[in-house]
Amino acid sequence: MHRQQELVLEDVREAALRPLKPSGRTFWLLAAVLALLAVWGLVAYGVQIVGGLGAAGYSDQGFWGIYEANLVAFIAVSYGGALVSAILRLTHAGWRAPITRLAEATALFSLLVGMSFALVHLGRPDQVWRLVVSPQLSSPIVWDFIVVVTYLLATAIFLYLPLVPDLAVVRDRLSVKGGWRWRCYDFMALGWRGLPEQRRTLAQGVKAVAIVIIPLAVAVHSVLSWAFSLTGRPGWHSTIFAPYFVVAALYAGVATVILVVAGFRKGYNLQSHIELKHFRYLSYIMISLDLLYLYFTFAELLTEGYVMNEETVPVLSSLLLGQYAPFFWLFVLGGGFVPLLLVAIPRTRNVSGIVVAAALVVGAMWLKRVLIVVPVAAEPLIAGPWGTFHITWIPVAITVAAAAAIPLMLMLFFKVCPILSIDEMEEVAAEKESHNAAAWYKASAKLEEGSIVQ
Amino acid sequence: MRRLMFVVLATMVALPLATATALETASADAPNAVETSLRISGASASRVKGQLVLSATLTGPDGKPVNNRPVDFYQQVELLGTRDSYLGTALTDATGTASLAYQPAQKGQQTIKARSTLDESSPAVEAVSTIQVGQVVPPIPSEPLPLAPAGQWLVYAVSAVVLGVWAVLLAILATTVLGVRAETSKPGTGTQALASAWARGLPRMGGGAE
Amino acid sequence: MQQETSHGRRHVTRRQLLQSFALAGLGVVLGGPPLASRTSAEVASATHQWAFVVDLRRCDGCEKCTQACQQTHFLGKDQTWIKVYKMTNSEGQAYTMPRLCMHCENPPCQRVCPVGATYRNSEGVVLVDQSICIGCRTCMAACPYEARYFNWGDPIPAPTGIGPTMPEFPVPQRKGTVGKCILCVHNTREGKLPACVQACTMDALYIGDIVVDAAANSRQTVKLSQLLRENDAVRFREQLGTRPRVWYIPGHGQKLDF
Repeated sequence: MHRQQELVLEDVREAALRPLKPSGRTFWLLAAVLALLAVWGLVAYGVQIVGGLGAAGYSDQGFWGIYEANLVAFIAVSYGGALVSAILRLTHAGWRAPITRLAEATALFSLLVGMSFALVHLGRPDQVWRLVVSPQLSSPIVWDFIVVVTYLLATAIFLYLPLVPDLAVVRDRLSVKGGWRWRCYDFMALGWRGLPEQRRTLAQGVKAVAIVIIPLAVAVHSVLSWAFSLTGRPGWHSTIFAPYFVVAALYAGVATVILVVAGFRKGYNLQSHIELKHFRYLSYIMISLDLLYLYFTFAELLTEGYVMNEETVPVLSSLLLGQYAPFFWLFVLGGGFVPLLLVAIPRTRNVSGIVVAAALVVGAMWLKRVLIVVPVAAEPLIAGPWGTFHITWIPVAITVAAAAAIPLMLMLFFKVCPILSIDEMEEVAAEKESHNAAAWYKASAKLEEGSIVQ
Repeated sequence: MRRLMFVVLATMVALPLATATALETASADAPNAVETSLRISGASASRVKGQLVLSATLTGPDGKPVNNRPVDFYQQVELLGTRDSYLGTALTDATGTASLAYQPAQKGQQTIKARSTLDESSPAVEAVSTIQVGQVVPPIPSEPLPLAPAGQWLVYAVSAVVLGVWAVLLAILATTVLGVRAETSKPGTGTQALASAWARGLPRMGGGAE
Repeated sequence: MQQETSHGRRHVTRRQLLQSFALAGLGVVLGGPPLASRTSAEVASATHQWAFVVDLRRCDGCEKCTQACQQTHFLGKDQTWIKVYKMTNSEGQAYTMPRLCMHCENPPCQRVCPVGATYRNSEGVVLVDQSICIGCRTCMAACPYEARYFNWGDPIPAPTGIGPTMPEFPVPQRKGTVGKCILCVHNTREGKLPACVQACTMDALYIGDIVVDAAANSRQTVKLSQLLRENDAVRFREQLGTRPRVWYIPGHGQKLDF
C-alpha cells in the first residue's frame, strides 16, 4: 500500500508540475493571441482617455453602461474561488482537492481584472487617488473600494498560503540548487520542510482565511449592489439587490470555475486527476444557484411589477415586453433553463454538456448585468425619449481584453506554480487513507467478533 | 393737571424702550395741506404669533380720510441690491386706514413703504417708515432630518469592522508566515529529518489539523 | 432712528394720547434693547439662503432661459442645466416645465459622491468642484431630477481671460467631470440676477432668499413666503426627502403630476 501511495503521489506531482515544463507551440500561440487581445484593449483605453467617455458610447441619457456591468460581472467571477475553495474546504468536501488551485487563482486574477473596470469607467482616473486620501464615507463607491481591496488582500492570502508547500515541492525539483530561482522559491515557500508544526500552523492559517473570506465575499457584492440600489432610481432601488448580487456572483463564479478547470484539464491532460465527478459536483452546485437566482429574479420582478407603481412600470415593461425583452428572455432561457436541463438530463450530464451549460451561464450572466445597468440608466426620469448605450469598438475591445487577460494570467501563473494543489491532494488522500484504515480495522474487528458473516 | 399728565406721558414715550416711530410726508404737518397724503400709522402685533399688522392712513387734499382706496405695502429688502418687496394691498376703510397682516422674516429695524393714489388719475403718494421687529417666526421653516445621526453611527461602526478585518487578515498572514519560518530554523529540521519523516510513511506525516 | 412723537402739536387730543399709549405699548412688546441704526451694509452681510420659484402659469416654453444659461457658462447644446420639458399631465393638458438643479437641502448627489466633489455652500447652493470630481457619475444616478450633465468629451473652450475653473463659475468645464446649475452664484455674489431669471421675458422665474423672505424676477420683488402660500406652490418630488429649494407655482386648475 505504501508503494502504491508513493506512485499516486508521484503521479499527482508530475501532473501538477507539468505546466512548468517548457511549453510547446500551441501554448505560446494561444498566449500570444490572448496577449494581443489584451494589448488591443489597452490601446482602446488610450483612445478613450484622449477622446473622453463619449467615445466609449456614453451619454447623459446613458451615463452608466458596459463598464459598470463589467465591474460587477468580473468581480462576480472571482466568487468561484471563495465558493469552491473556502466553503468546500470548511465542509471537508474532499473532492475539491484537485481544483482548488485553479479556483483560487481564477479568483485572484478575475478580481484584479474586475477592479480595473472601476478605473476604466472613470471620467478622470488621474484623480482616483482622492479616494484614498479624502474619501467621503457616506458614499457607497468608497465602500466598494474598501471592501474590494480588502477582498483582494484576502484572496491573495488565500491563494498564497496553500501554495507554500507546493512551492517547496517545486524548489526541491529544481535541477539547480541554490541559484536565484531556488532562492526565490525557497523564500516564497518560507523554508517549508513539511514538519508537523509547520503543517499545523499553515492549516490553521488557511482555515482562518477561509472563515474570513466568506463574509467578506458576501460583503463585496452587497456593497457593489448598493452602488445601484442606494441611488433611488426605479429599477435599482430595491431591497433585494444585495442578496441578489451575491447569488448572481456565486452562480457565475462556479460556472467560470467549470470553464477554467475544463480548459486547463484539456490543455494539460489532467483527466486522471480531474474527473467527471468533479464536473458533476460543480454542476450540481451551479444548478442549485441557478434555481436560487431564478427565484430571486422572479421575486424581484413580481414585487416591482404587481403594484404597477408608475415609477417602476416603464423599466419593467421595457425589460419584459419592450425594447430589452429579447435580451431578457434570452438570458432567462440561456442562463436559466437550458443549463438546468443540460445538467438535469443524464444524457447531457457529461463533461461537454456541463461545459456548454457553464459557458451559457457565464455569457447569460454578463448579459444580465448589462440588463440591470443600461435600461435603468436610459429611462427618462421626467419626460422625453429614452436614452441608450451606444456600443462602440472601445468598450468591446476592453471587455474582450479583460476576458482574455484572465486565462492569459492563469497560463503564465501556472508556468511558475503547480496547477494542482499537491499538498492538499496529499492531505485529502491521507485523510481518506486513515479513514479507510480505520474502517478496515473496524471491519476486521467486527469480523473477529463474528458479527459479519464471511 | 392736563399739562402734568402730558409731561408724564411724554417722558414715558421718550423712554428708550418705546421705539416705534411714524414719519410723515412733507405735506402732512400742515392741517390745511392741498395735497393728498399718506401716513404709515405704525405696526401693531396681531393675534397670530410673529405677525404684525401694518396700518397706513390716506388723507385727501381736504384733510379728510379717503375711503376704499388700495394701498400697496412694501418692505425694503437687500436682495441683489436694495429692492422694495411687495407685501400686499389693503383697502382703506371709512377712517382712511388700510391694514395689512405681515409676518416679518427678520428681526431688527425694517423699512416699510406704502403707496397709494387718491383716484386713478392722480399721481401716487408714498410714505416711508421704520418699524422695529423683535420676535420672528420663520416663514419658511427648515425641516429636520431624523435619520441623519443613525447614518453617522453606521459609518463609524462599519469603519471599525473593516479595520478589524484588516487587522485579522494581516495577523493571519503574519502568524502563519512567521510560524512556518520559525520551524525551519529549529534544529533537526534539515533535509535529513525530512527524509526520515518521509520514510516513516504518509499517514502519520499527514495528520494535519484538519 | 428718528424720534418723532405725535405730541408735536400744541393740543393733545384724547385720540392722540391713546395712540401714543399704543405706540409705547407696542414698543415694549416688540422692542428689545434699543438698536443702533442699521445700515444697508450690515443687512447685506447677513447670510443668504437661496431659493428659486418657477411660475408655471407664465412659462410659455420659449427656452430663453436655457439659451442664456448656455451662453453664460459656455455649455454645449446638450448641457441644458435649466431644461424646459414639454409635459402632459394625466388629464391630457400640456404645459412646459423648466427644470433646474433643485439645490436640495438633503441632496442625494452630495451623499453619494465618493470624493466630496459635490457640496452645499453656506448659502444653500449645491456646487461641484470639478478639480476634485473623478467622473464616476454616481451623482447622476442619484439625482432624481436628472439635473446633472457630464462632460463626455472636450468641453467648449472659453474665451481667453476666463478661468481657471472654479465651482462658483465652472468655465471652462472640465472634461470627464459633472456640471450643473449653480444658481449663478457668480452673479448673486455681485448683486446680479441669475442668467435665466434675467432672460425670462415672461417673468416666470424668481430668485429668492429665505433669510429676507423675498423673491425677485426681472421685473418685481415679492414676499417669498406669501408668493408660495397664496399660489399653492409645491416642490417637485419632495416625497423623496430631498427638501428641494425650488418651488413650482402650478397653473390655475392645471394638475401637476408631482
